Amino acid sequence: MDAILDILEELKPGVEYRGRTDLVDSRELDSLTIIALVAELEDVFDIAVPAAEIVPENLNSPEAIWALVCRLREQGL
Amino acid sequence: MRQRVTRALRLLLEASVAVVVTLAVLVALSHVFVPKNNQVEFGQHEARANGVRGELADTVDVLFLGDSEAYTSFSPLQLWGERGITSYVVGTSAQKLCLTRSLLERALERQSPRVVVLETDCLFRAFSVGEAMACAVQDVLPVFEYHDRWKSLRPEDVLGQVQSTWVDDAKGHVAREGVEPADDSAYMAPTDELAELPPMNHAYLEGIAQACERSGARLVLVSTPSTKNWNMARHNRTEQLASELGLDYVDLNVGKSRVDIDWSADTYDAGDHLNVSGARKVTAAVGGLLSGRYGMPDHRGDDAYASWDEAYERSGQGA
Amino acid sequence: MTSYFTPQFLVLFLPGSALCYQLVPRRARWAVLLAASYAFFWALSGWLAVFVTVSALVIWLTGLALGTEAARRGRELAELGADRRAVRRLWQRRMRLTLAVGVLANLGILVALKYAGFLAGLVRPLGAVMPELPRIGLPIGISFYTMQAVSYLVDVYRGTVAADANPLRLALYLTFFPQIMEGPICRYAQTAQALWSGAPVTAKQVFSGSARVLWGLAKRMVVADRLNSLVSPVFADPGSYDGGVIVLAAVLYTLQLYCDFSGTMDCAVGMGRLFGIALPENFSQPFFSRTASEFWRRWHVTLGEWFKDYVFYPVSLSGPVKRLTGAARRALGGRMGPAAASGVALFCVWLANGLWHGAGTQYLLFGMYYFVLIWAGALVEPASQALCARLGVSRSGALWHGFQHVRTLLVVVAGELIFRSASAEQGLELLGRATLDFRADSLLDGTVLAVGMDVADFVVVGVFVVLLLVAGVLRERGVHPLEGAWRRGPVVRWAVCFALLMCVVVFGAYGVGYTPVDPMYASF
Repeated sequence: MDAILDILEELKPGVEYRGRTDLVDSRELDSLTIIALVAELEDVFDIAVPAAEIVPENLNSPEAIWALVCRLREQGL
Repeated sequence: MRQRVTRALRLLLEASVAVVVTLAVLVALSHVFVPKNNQVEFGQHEARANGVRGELADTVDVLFLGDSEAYTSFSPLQLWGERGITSYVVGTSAQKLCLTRSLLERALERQSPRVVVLETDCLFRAFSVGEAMACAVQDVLPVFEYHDRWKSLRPEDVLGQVQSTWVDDAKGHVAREGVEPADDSAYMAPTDELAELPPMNHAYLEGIAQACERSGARLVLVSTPSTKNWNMARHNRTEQLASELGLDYVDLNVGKSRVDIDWSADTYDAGDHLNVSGARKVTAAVGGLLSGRYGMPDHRGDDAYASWDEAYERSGQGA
Repeated sequence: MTSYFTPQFLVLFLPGSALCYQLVPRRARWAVLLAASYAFFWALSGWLAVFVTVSALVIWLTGLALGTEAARRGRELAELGADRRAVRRLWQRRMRLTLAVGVLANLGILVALKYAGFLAGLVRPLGAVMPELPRIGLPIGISFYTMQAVSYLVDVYRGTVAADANPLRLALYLTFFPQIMEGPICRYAQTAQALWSGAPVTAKQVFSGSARVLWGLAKRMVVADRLNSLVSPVFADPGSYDGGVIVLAAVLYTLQLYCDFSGTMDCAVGMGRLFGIALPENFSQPFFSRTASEFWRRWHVTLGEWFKDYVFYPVSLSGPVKRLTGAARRALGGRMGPAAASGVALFCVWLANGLWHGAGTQYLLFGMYYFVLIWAGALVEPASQALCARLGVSRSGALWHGFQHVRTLLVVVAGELIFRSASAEQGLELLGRATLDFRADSLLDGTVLAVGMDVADFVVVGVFVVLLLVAGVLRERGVHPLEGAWRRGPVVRWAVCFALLMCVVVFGAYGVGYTPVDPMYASF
């Protein structure tokens, strides 16, 4: 979970990510940042994120991103 | 249940008040926007055709209706000079029958012609339900036709009365000079085919016939000579229509009423329309028909018609 | 009946079908919508309605096939001791094949009808000859409903919606008449079930729907059609005008296109409400954008979202591009790397966007123009941030924001200048003339008033632009004017509709002296 916050902070510093639930809806994460985020997640957690998973519900909060990562890791096994 | 009925009634009341208010405002706006005289300077559309409203009441014995075929082919001043018949061409370019009917009804408010001649080219021009609706609405609420006059409204438009004092000097006729010969190789080639009449045109022709009947005028269908717009299929269909509705039909292209048009000299646009010399021949033939078959009176020498002599003089045709 | 903006549609067809919809029982309401939609399609395109029917059948069958495959995959995955990875890979391959068949069939029809001539022209210089296809014209809305058809298939493939067993519902989803001409491009999840359910229409929906239609009519008839009197002659013969007039025409064309398209969208959304359907919004105050990419998130929203979901992310996350992104990250770092690699996906999006608008070189240039701007914008962003920091310019201050607004407006107007041109060459030439041959005096010496709009026309447009700005600012602040009018009771509600109607009747650019303009996006 903290790993997610670290990744976000590194990609786009100066934003308070903890507790947010509108990262995509408020355009804090635009499509280019999302691509960078996904690339980082795939690297760090050794997962493959399909395009179908790129929906606001999966990315709006650090918790949702973490849940996505966990789900994909489970599926990959 | 009771509550639902009250709510429905309330809504109905609201809607009817809204509709009535809207219509009232549209009527008021129409009064403001309608041109206060039948002249271009006052914003009148199709002023030449609407000039008939400026004629003295009940002085025009013959009305010509139709599209450009009508206003290039029939010359009221020639009819006056030759036979003393008073007539006016209520013709507009590419006229559709819905407009023909509106223009006729407006003309009949002030005139009671003995004969109404409808040039048949416009019988075959299609128009949509929307155009028919627009025509009908504009007749009742002229604001839809003249809304663009907001740019030039004056105080008189709010208070003034509508009048019609202007008359086109040529009585709606447009004389075209010039010659462009026509190819008449396939002109009026025989066929038994019937041209197709656009869907709503039958009903509108009936409406026009009824309006004529109400005001005691005889409706006559006339086809002017044209190699581009007329053919045997249209002739056949028009003949059938005329007998269906009990109307007279005269085709100047064919048969015993044919006018001897020289297609190398009498048209200015290769057979589409007639030029001055073609129009002279057609008007002469129509004049014979009007005084012969329909007994149109000769008003020459009658002081009440002095303005016709003046218009004739001004046109230079008397000389 | 040739569009929404004919008396027979507005006075007969729309109220007639809304009334029928109210009168029939809920269970049969879908039939009214489907019949009305096909009648509208038939009135505009005649027998070409066959093509939308074929599209509906194709997505129905492909959707069912995908559904069956997904169910079998589910069963095999649930089996004990299954090699889940292998099962997934196997079914992914099969389902991709099925999806490809359905998508290619839909795109094939679109390409054959819309782009065949353009493609033949492109390959002819290479000596290749394409078989000549008969020219039969374009079914209305083919660019829009094809996007909807493809999105349904991809959504079923992805499992975001279930395959629909009802072909009639899919046909209605594609043809629903308020949206068929110019969109908005709806997703299956947004409208299909609502269209079928026949939910009761509330009085509030009828009010806000009618008011929205009238507002759209006003935008289109008062502003867009009036501006056409100047824009059309200038672009028909740009050689006769100097740079000043061309700049003015480009600005007015941008305004015309906005009022035409967003006005038509207001009508579409309003008409949807009359049937109790919430169509997605297609505009959200685009001229308040601060960057080109923000502009495209606010202008033709549903098209941008479609490209993002079905082109940008899939391309970005495809195998080869992922490898490229990985390499770029190693070389350029976690921020610049992905930004550089996103060029591939951005290129695909903007190529598709340009071509979607039409088979013409000007549209290709238009797409590439935005591709370069947006990609370069992403690449220079870090440098620009650093520069601002060094110069001490605050990037959240009014000055910087103002600069961004002006820059974006210039970018947009230049883009629309290309867009309106007859070809890419003409677009470039006009851009050159607008900048190098710009003379302000032609804007002041009366030349402009001789083209087709008089002072009164400019005044009306000006007043309406102020009105649009006020409405835009309100919407930006989250205020819904129609919501407020509804709460204030019947008198205010009727007054709003009445005022809009009178505005259209008196100040609309229709009738004698105006050439009727077809809705612009209907031809894209």
